Amino acid sequence: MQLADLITVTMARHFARWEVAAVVGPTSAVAAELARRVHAPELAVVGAMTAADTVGGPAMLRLEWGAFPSERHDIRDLFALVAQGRVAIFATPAQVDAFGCANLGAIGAWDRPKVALPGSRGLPEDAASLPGFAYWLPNTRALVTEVDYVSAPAPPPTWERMVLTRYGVFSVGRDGWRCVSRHEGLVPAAPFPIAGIADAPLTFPLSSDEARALVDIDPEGVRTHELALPG
Amino acid sequence: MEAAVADVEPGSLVYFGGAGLVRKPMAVARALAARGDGNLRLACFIGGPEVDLLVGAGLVSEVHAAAVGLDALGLAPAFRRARQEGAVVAYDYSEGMLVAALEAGARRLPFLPVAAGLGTSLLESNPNLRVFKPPFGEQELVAVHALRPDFCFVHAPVAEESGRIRILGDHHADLIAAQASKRVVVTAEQVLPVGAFGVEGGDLHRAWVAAVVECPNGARPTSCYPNYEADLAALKATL
Repeated sequence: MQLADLITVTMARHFARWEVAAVVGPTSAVAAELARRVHAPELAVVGAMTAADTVGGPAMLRLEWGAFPSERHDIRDLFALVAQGRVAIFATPAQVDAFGCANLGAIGAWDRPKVALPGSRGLPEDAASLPGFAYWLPNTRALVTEVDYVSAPAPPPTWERMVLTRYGVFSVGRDGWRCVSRHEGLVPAAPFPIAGIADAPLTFPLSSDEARALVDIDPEGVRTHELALPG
Repeated sequence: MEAAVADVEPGSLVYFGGAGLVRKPMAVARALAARGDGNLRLACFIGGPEVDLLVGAGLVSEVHAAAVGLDALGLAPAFRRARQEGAVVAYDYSEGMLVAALEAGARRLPFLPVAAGLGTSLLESNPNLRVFKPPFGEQELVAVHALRPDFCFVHAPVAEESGRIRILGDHHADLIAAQASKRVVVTAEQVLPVGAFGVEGGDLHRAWVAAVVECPNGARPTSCYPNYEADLAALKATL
């Protein structure tokens, strides 16, 4: 559970810097609630986690029945908030490259892909409008030199985009990739250069308040689900 | 249900409400699959098992969506196979672009602009997107061609005979899709007499709805809040 805890609190600290957190998966669901409990009580949460409503699923994942019943919103609300740059989100694309571009469309050519992916979802508007747009990559094979299909372009010249992996926290922008912090005991690796790995501090560990809240919010360990996937 | 889909013809653009595993009009999809007429053009915000069912039956020529998948169960296998074999044409939209396309359809505009999409591959893969220089401001924008579905099917937990509906969970893009479409058919877990909603009304005005069909369990195995949750075991059995 330790690595999952570290990733979840890192997400929560990021969410706490923004007005609205968009929940798109199990880890971000726990992180949004953790951010509200410990760091930012006024944080609003919007849900895009359509997998949530599953019979017998962990309470944290059963959005409309469980964790976030009071945060319903109109779809125009969501896209107006996004256009105004007020939302933080951790997207999980299939590929992210040396420039920070992301792919959720196709491996290979679009018209006859080697692997057809679901589609670009909200990545284009998130990349265009959200300084708080970040990637969460549980699968380290997602890192490639150049994506096959651009669902999200590289960050605008003055922005840096956070990338959270099982090895550490990174930032990608005009000057390429930089290691912000590395998770204890793990060595980041990628098929392109990453600056600052040797000098990067360890990802700041959980505070006692965060640790207590995590156990209370997620006793079933939902936050480990994405890390348990092959990667 | 057969009557609800009777007017859908080969070549019709058919919008399915809900998203992913949430409130999909599955009874409608099953009725269309049973009828077996092909060359359907589908549109949806996030496609799920309804798209996979119809694509797997070989009845779909094109899909307009921001994504098609089965969420926790991964990629939609029939849709994926058809994409990889070139058997279906997919139009990739962002979620905001799909909503803009429907909004343009609702307002009878040829397109609406969005600021997203510049520098993406969507501009090459989707001919319904074009970069243009707007008359106001300096920033180039992306014009999203209007979508005006011939049919829109929405599943709701409760409706009035008048056509008013209530969706108690996430609406996703259902309301704007209904406004954009030429004919809206609502399937509902329960249909109540006219006036049952009282002055509080519904989420969608009855002016948009052509027909209401009572259809208990009409979204299964996807969810319909608050009546039932998505049934992953049942979904897995269909894969």
